[in-house]
Amino acid sequence: MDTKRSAAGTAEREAAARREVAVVFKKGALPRLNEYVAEVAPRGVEVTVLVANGPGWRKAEKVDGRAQVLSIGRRENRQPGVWLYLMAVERAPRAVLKRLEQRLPGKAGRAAGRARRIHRKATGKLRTWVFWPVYRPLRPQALRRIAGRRVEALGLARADRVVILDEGAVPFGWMLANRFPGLEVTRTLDKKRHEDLPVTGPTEAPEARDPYIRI
Amino acid sequence: MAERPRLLYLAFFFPPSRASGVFRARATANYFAEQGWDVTVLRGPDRFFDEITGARDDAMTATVDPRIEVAEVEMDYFRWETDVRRYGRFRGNFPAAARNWFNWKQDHVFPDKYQGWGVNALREGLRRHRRRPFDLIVATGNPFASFGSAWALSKLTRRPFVVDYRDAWTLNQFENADMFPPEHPAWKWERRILGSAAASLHVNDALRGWHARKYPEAADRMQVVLNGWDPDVVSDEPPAADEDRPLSFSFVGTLTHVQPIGSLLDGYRIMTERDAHAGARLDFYGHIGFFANTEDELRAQLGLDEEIPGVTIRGPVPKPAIATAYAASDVLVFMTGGSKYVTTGKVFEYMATGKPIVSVHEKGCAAEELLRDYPLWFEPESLDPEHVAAAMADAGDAARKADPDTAAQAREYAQSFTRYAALRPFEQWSRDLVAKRKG
Repeated sequence: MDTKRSAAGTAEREAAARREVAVVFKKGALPRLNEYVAEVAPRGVEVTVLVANGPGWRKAEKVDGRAQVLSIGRRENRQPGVWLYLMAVERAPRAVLKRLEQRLPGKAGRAAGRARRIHRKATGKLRTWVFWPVYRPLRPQALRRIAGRRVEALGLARADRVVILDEGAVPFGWMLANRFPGLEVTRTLDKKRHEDLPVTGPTEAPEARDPYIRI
Repeated sequence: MAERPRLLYLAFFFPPSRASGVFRARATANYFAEQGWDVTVLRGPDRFFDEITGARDDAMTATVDPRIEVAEVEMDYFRWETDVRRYGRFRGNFPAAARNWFNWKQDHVFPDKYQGWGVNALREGLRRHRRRPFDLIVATGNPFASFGSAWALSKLTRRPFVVDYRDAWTLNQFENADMFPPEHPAWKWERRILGSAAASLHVNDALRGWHARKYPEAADRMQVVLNGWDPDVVSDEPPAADEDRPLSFSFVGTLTHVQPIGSLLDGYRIMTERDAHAGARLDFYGHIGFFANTEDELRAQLGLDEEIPGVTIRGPVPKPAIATAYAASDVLVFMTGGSKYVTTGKVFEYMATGKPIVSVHEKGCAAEELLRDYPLWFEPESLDPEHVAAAMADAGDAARKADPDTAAQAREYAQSFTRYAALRPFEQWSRDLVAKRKG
């Protein structure tokens, strides 16, 4: 499979424009990624970004609109443990308390409203002090499994290299490096690599695409 | 025939590296070998010089005495590795745990990112010592992991060790401030190492004094071993004067962000605009920054990314060919980040040429002590470009005049600053130490 991929990949790569795949599992890496896309996209470099925009990505920066963005966020949220936590601790009580606040008249309604606000604060604290400390160390492996089942969607046969932007994406990158011996998997966003290409595209970023393509 | 004393020298940056500290390490090893020591050097791995610093010069290897045994010691590249394929199974699967483990070792084992090299050097040193015992261990830093290895080797083999501070470890020499917060383990380690080292070497008296104040219990074991110039790379032949060619003002060395390059460029511009030396050039020989991958960024920071009339970036010159750069220069520009703790090795080479030297650095730089008695030294009143321009013009006049007596005096003065002259007392001290130990 690897030999086939590499033979076909070389021919296609020669013909096609340069293409890179970036993997971002933590939102903190997005400003660096966007700066990179803004630099290389006008030079004709095609960038595909794989994001895991699951829990914790609500206030994340949008990925530059010139990049194709594939998302495994929904898959991440549907993992049994994550789904159960979000449903049992956050969504279900929130929905119940919201309805009670709307439907119950007078004192009981106001009490339900107060309970909803307390619940909102408490879930914030629980996320910080319970959910993330437990889930954070498991997340890279969980995402490696999810992303590993969807490698075809990344079109690695046409990719020059894969850039792993954050530590959380390292297990996935390491898996790719082992699965595809000819593929370059690096932690470095190297702008200089494309400096030989002339700027041919617009330098203004189009509006960011959201929602991203779910895979 | 008496057995030759055996020296184990821990020098991460050693040829083929072309890092700035290599020349002191090379001279130390060569000098000890010439004086009859059996020298073994443990150095950093080629991959580090090739891929991480990009600072390799194979011509340097040929200048190492063939009697010296040089061994490449592997290291872990945790801080530098960007190729995910090269991550081990542990880091590839559990990157956060691997990082925590690395940080824990920094806090609890030894606080240096080159720690992996230090551990391997310790292992290799022990292996070689078991085969044939060493008499003395000398470690040069940075990286300071070599100090930790020398300390541990000394404990395990009961041999004396010496630490050679090419740079300060816990002092920021450019800002005259502590490098680490008070609770940082580097302080504990430095005290521990200096407490049991047979001697510590410093490149100037200001640095020795700073360490003596910080660690008074070790003050009587601190020595100054100046840097110096290398006779094999700098010719001390009198320069041939050429009245007709336009003057060349040259900076030879590595450009970094701490040097006042703005003052130099403005001073040069003012000088040429005033027709003080029509057609004078300003040439930069050497690398821009110590790391190849930061060169473009630094070039832009220094304002050298655009063409400046009369200014030429001539690029790096291999050390063995550096004499050609000096021969093509009429006035040498001594530019440094400056501080009372900074001497730089370049000042010795500059003096060896017997050519006018113009200083471009803050007042109070340690090199001033050496330059003060050099007859062709031109010091501007301040870093104000007007003052720099005036000093450059005066140095240019001196180069044009090319008084042979003054030039001879200058070269004679420089003769006392060869690397070997600087190392002589230390080598003698080491010999005595080993002889005393052997009884």
